[in-house]
Amino acid sequence: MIGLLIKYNGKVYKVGNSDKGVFISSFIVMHRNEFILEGGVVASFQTIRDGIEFEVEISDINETDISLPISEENNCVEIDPEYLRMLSDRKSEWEWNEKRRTFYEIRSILIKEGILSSDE
Amino acid sequence: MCVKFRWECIHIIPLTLWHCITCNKLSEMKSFKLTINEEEIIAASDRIVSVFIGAGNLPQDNYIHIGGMDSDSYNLTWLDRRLEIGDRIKVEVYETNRISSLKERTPSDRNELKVKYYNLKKELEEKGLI
Repeated sequence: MIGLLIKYNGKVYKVGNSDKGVFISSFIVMHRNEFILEGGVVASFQTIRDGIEFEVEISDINETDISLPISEENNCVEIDPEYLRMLSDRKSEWEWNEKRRTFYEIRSILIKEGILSSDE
Repeated sequence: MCVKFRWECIHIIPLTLWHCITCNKLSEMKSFKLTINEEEIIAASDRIVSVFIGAGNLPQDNYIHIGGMDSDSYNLTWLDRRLEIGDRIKVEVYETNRISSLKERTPSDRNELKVKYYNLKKELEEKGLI
């Protein structure tokens, strides 16, 4: 079966699903200072910093070799302490300010493009 | 602090530079540096950069999508491509002021954006924040 070899933090994870396929996704969310990696048996949440890296290879994988999320050895769920600290420091006020910032940003786009009038 | 950027084309094709509108300086920012076999793509945005890699029994087959969204709510695409067995992709978080040229930059769904606007407006008004 075609699957993914995911190399992360010095380990190799074999991910595949003959029925549905598999995917891995990763994000840099600048305005929230968040790096996210999710896919198969790997998940990592960190603050954005230089040096984070991972590798993926498209590979023909034997079904019996797939890493199953049944033991700590076969999966990686990593939440960086700095990331946790950042989230816990973000009180409700931060999230509301972020919503307000987003609101004004969208408002400005819609007005600029003539979709919204300035009194709406 | 620089908060607003725009795509600024210079003569080092195919790279572009981040250019700050408010202070008129080139600005470094975090990016994804992707090496797909031998090819290098540097993707960055002032909002979100994303990488999707899929394999196996998927509608798109084996594929990679490098994209994101900017603060003007435009969808960004650097690469959409089928992958083959043996293709290797290395992804690094990397600070730079050079990014690869976009393949596509298209506005996100403005109707959805308008719905989001009214939902946020209602929520913020109820909270007394606007």
